[in-house]
Amino acid sequence: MNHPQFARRSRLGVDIGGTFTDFALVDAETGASLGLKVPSDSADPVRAVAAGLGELRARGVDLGTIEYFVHGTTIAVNSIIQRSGARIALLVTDGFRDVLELGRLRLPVPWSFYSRRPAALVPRELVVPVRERIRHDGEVEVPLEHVEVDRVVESVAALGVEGVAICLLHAYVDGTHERKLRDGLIRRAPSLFVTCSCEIWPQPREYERALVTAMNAYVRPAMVRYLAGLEATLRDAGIRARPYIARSNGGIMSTGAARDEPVQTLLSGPASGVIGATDIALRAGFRDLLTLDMGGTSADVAVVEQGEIGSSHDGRVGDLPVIVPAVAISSIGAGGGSVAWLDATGVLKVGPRSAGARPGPASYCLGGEEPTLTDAFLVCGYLDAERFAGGLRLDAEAAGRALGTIAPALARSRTEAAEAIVRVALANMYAELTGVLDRRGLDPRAFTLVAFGGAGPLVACLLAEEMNIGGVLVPPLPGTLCAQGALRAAAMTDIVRTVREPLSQLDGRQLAAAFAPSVERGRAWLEREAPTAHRTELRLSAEMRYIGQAYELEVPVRPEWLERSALGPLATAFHDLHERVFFHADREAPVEVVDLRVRAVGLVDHPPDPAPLPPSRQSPRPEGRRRVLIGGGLHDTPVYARAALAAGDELDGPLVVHQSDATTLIPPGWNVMVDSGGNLLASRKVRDAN
Amino acid sequence: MRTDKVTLEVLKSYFVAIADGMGHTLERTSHTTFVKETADFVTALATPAGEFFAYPRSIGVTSFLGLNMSAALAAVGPLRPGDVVITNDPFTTGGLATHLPDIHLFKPVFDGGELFCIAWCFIHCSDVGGLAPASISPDAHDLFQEGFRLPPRLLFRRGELDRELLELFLANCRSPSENAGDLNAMIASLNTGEHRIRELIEKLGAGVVREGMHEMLAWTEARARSLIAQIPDGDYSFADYLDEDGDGIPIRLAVTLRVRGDELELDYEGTDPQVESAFNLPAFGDRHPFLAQGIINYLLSEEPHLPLTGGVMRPIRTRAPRGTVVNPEFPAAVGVRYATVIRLYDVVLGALAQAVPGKIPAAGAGQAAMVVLSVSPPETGSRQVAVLEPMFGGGGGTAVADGASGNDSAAGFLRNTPIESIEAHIPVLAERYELVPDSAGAGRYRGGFGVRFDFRTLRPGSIVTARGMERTCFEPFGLSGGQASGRASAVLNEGSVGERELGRISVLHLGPGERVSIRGAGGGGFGNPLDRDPDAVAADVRAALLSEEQAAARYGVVFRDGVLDADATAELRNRLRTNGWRPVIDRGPSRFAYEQVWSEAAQGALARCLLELPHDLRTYAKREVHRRVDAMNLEIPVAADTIAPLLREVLAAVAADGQDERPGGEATPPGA
Repeated sequence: MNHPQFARRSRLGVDIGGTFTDFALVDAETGASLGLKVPSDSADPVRAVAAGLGELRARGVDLGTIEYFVHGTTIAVNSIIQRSGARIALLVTDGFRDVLELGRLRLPVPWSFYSRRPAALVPRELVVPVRERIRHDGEVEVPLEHVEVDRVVESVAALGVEGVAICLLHAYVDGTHERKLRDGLIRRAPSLFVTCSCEIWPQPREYERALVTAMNAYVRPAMVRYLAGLEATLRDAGIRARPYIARSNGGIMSTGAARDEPVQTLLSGPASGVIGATDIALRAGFRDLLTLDMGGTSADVAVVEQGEIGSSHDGRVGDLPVIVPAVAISSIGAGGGSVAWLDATGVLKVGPRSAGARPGPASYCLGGEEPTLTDAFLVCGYLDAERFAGGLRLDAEAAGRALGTIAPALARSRTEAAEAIVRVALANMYAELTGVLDRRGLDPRAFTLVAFGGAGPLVACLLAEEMNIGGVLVPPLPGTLCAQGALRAAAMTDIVRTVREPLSQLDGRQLAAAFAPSVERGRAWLEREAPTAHRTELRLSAEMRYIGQAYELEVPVRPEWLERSALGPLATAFHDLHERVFFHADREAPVEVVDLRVRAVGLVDHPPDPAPLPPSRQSPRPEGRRRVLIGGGLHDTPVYARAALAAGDELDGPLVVHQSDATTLIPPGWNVMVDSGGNLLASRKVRDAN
Repeated sequence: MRTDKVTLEVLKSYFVAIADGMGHTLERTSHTTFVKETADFVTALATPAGEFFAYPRSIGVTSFLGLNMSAALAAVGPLRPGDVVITNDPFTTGGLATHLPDIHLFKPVFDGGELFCIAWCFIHCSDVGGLAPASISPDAHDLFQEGFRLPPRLLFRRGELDRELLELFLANCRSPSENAGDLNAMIASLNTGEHRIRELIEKLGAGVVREGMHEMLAWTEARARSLIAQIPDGDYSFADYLDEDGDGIPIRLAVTLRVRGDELELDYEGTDPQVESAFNLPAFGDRHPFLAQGIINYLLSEEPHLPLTGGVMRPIRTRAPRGTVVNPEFPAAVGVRYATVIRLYDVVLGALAQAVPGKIPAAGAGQAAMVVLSVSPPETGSRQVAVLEPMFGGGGGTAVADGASGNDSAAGFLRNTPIESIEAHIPVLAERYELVPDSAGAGRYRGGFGVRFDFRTLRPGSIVTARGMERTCFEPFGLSGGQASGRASAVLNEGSVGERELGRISVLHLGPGERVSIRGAGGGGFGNPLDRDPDAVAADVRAALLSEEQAAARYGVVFRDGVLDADATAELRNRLRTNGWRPVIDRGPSRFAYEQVWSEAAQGALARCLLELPHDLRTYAKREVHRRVDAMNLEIPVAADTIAPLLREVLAAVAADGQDERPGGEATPPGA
């Protein structure tokens, strides 16, 4: 097959997932796009990139036309989850050697005899206490003497480490001691990689800051090796574009920046999906969104209010907190690989254990024998065994056999057991998703569910029905949306500076002066990272709280507020936000500015929107029919090819829409229309008035 | 079970989502720092009979799961739509509330005129008055010193707020506006629960939901029963101590666990009488979860998917003799009752370990101490109070793994405070917050290490308290050949002229530049230390958590020039093995020494005799008997049958000192 539309200039997004590596190719002139999935290679992820590039070339794509390349990598997150990172040392203030071991003390499962905090990223023998101490106000309590620097440098040299993380108490106020140590280390071993907490993320709370500092040094060697392999692969494939790497905050950065701050990539995978989903939904005219990216092992959910993607500072990798800004995403333990099982009283449970990509669902025939959600989907008739995502074939008999292990105990046929698994999985997802909305006090009826990933479109309508969500949007290429999203991302970094002053003690000029160094850094970063940006922005915000509180709210700061001396508008903005989030505000109570943030954004120009889908000439014809079990009833259900649907088509459920990267299920009682952007918009049918 | 086993799991998700949703509403809209930062609150739905069938999994505390509302419901009589009940009183709610800062609110939910279920929530609020700010002080001698007491009363009557009741309550609190805000949040939470359960009824029908809530309880009960049935039948006794009641005499908590088929009973007969300080636990009822936390955590550890409902208490009976520290008579002070709950946890696990050895961890550090600093900054003059750190210690080793360091399942929900936050908040300088080397009880799987927290005061007039600090007298026990760990301790101004061992801290008045060091105990070890993998011993030595001398002495592992010497280790271990008998439960040297005089039999006899006295005489009589025994300078155990005569002497002396001066009624000497 040839793709003449990619003949001149194109952009390529590549996203690595646990099961598949996804490719999204977009024609820079027409906006037309192409999706591709190839199996991931966990041992050497670059191989899957090379394989996908080969596949694109085989399909007639001239890789030399790729002028822009964005890549989402899981190298960093995997080396933390698998604890396969580098041997590094951590330097801490004397007296606080167990900062990583103790963490915040709480046990993951507080009541369990067997629950333990995750093992420290840096074992105690590689944690080096340093005699020095800075107080919270920057006053030096114990100076860092030259002899102490020399002693520490020598003990680090004796440890034989690949990198060093330095996190001293209150270094967010004054990083002099950290830098002195780093300079000493580098004088002795110029090739040593050193991360200072005062530079990577200078924010109070020593455990979280030490952890993010240690993570950066820990994942760095693997990232460096990987990027070298990636750059070689791209070179060999004839791609001249300078690669960009996706970040957790929803932005992108150069490979150089990714080598310096690999920790910024930890949560990038799901972030790109939210960017892509939001971008498509906004273009289709929807602004309040719940994005649902459901794949083989988990489902990632994000809330978008009024087109604004939420940002969080309390993301997690496994049980470890990550305080650098990230797109706010909740991960729930439901995926196609979720295993169905019976508890000791015979009650049906689904998950949280997942068969993952290997051995995977029984129907993959890769050695999995337990029934999974994917097996249930297949037996219920939601999926086509011959045409699963990424060219995989499913074995319905194997799925049936697996279901047979639990069906008799449930006094059900295999098919009925399959439907029961879907019901239980949906109820689990309902409970977790409701929590995501409840935490913010949001009403599901106002939201549109944007469903993507391999399994998202399959469950979207059923879940929306459970949750009372108004409508569902399935984008044109739901299986490769993360890769598409990365292409829409801006170059973006965040800079934080701790202030901790009562608002009443500050005026606009002082605040401007406090912002100035961060603004300067932001500008420099943009010049370096986004020289071709067609527009740059510096977004200012302040983390604020009532004095005495331990939690903050991020209040956007308008530049004009800094020109006046009185900061009344900032106080009002804080009270208003507090009222909106927590339903109360105390406008008389003293307020504190905890830290100041600058987000530097370099927007790239995007290819034009793809040509609208041609309007429908005649009602589409199904390519086939199959029997599908939904809601206890067996329905003779038409199956449509996604490519056969045209703008304006409207169909009543039940129906199945098939495409190579995903399957969409529209249940009875729902209908679906196709918009000019090629999105499927599903909603509940208005019930008859009689 | 009548409800289908698929529908049951689906309903469980709905119920948990409702309880979680109530919790999110409460957390989002409340004001108090306790609620936001320590998450000391929880929400639930109860059946009309008062058992929780919907309990959150992801928000709030877990220890209230087995509470029963029946006494509180009976106390208020029939409820009508729109009623909301408020209470914080242990003595009229059968221990639904267990100390006064815990405010409970509940609201009946009706369906078609019939009571369907009860929406319930509680928070630990900032203050309810009483002798100390925050309303908790170990020094409170009775309930009236602990704050404003609210027996169950209608805060809303058919949807109408009782403003007078509210004003009366708020007028007696130090932080009325925060409390008012929190009450609003609680009401919002109850309304969320009511609204959601109605939605569910509309979706599935009242019949399905009603049957589901009963089946949910039955499901938990069935699982709990099958787990209990796996515990061998028998009677298993164990006792342990709280440090003291201000008089140097340990407070003994004793239990007999009786397992019969798929049911069990925890009988606290033999436990010491109620105390004059605030350690009393108002657990009254015959099924109070605070008396069975060890059993509940055992069941949840064995079956992590156990549905969280009150059904877990159904196969469990608790018996707490009236007048003991676990079933105090009115008006006992109860503020620090959690210290007692934590020791009861050890006591129950000690008994359970005899029934199911290998499934129970050795004792953890056994305290949840709140180290609080109060200073009076010169610029404002008003006192500033802050929790510096919650202090626990190491967890006990298990049959499969070392104990957690710094915390375990007795208070696993605790979070510490970042040093950088404390120092910015209140004038203090932290000098050390670190694991304590050599503090873990040795074992095949050792205990977790204790934590020490050293800080320096910076201002004149700094006041330090550490309520809940425990285990300064007796060591946490080891199991199955594992060793007891060390004790908790505290030192003032270590290494300078004013150095002083502090023991259990009650109140310290300090000037600038004084240094306090508080060290939580490690956890007890599990299994013979000589069976510990030498590489694991070497890892602790490498981490500088175990000295080479201790490695040799406790584990028989020998290092030469910092390197493990396998041959010497094998030889030493052989030698140590031949001359060591190891108790199943190693109670530790301090307890061994104490019980050389005060045998368990003698202590039990004294506790029983004391219970027959009026409660205001018991503490005095206990101290006097102890004084007399101490004066005998015994090197052998005091005989149990000498206790009653000694007590008669004490009472005779009281009578001789004059009837008029002795408080309370006529005393009848035991056996007279």
